Amino acid sequence: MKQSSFRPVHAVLLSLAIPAVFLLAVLSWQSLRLFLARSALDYFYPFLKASAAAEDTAAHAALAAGKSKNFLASSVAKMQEELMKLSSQNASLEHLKQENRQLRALLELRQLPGFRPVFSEIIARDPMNWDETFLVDKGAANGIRAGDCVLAVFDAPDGEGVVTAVAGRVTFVSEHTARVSTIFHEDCTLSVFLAESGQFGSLRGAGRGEPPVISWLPADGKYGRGEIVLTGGLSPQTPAGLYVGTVQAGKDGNVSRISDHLYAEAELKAAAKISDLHFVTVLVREADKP
Amino acid sequence: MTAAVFLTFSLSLFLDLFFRSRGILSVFTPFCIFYYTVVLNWKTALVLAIAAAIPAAVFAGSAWPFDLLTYPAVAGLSLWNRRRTGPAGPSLRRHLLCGSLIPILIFGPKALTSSFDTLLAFLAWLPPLCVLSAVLLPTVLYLLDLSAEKLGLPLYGDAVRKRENPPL
Repeated sequence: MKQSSFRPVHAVLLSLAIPAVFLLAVLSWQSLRLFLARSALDYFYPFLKASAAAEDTAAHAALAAGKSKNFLASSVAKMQEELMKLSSQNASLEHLKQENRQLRALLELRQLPGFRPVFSEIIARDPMNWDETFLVDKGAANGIRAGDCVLAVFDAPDGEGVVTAVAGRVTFVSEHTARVSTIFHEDCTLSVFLAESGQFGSLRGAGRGEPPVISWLPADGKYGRGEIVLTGGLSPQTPAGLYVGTVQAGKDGNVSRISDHLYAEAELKAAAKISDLHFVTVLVREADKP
Repeated sequence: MTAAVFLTFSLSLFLDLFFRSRGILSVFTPFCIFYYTVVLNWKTALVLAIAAAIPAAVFAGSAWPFDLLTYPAVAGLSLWNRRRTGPAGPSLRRHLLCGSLIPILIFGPKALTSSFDTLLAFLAWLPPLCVLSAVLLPTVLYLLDLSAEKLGLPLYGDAVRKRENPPL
């Protein structure tokens, strides 16, 4: 008769060990994350770059194929077909135009004394955290450090032209990549200055799709809707005077609210629109240059 | 075998990374975990699941390591499927069911803890995603078995029928 291999002691130990390992992994995640991220991101860097390169190659090939067929139209039916093709091309060219405009604006960033702009491309992001975090293709090898300020070019709120504004901050770096937490992410904090009231505050992402909150504003200050919010420059890694957004009214209709009877809080209408972002500029302090 | 596992996981991670960076929820790595849980054994699959979950969690940049819990859960789903498989062989219907459950298992916890807009978008995309995943799982298993056959490696089709050594 075949003897059963089931051992109750082993089963009990196993059922205790597996949840214990998971619990340990979850509890130690915040400290392990940095180490694991550095190792994993550097290891997968060629894959990450290959992914972005594959997209570029496909886009160029598609555009080239479309161009070669432009001369084939000779009849009305073909012209209609051509029209459709041109329309789709136009859509992709509009996209390229917008991308080109963003790139030009990034290249023309005004010189910030003591800071060097590092132009970077977004190479990975997660659909579930689309607006809150992304990975760029430059890292410690380019002088980027955790805490560096990240700028990007967005369409102006009035729909005309573009505006350069703060997109977020670098949360950690590996040798060749850097993780950026946008101003909507809970990990992103920034000292800000309200231009009209002349008050300093602390901006923090609220996460979960909520607008960022400016807190630690003096309770007796007067804050207006649409007031321009700039970086405060209290952190040595963030230059002062960079555009962040404007103050907006909260859900209750009030511009500011008093928190804990101590300080005022206001909501930020961020200039950053992260969903369509492809390129960013990381501001690296010249003193930190490798 | 080790090289095949390494290559398969690297490719699946690359595909997941590629699609997810373009806003498409893909689950190729969980499919591989599902496959290797049966072809290898559950202990190795658990280690592989955790090893694959680490880069997935790092790429996602999420504050909580959901993948460390959800990827091993896929191994559990695979074990359940294996236990239910009789000598007649793998059931397509059950594989379709497992395939449709995998996206819910992987992205559900993340969606529940993300913004309301993200949750709504996820719920809107969930039905087509489940259908696509249900079709893709048997296809990926078939393709992996096809390449394993050419390489002379153990096959999923054979392993899933084995009832002499139950996995737990």
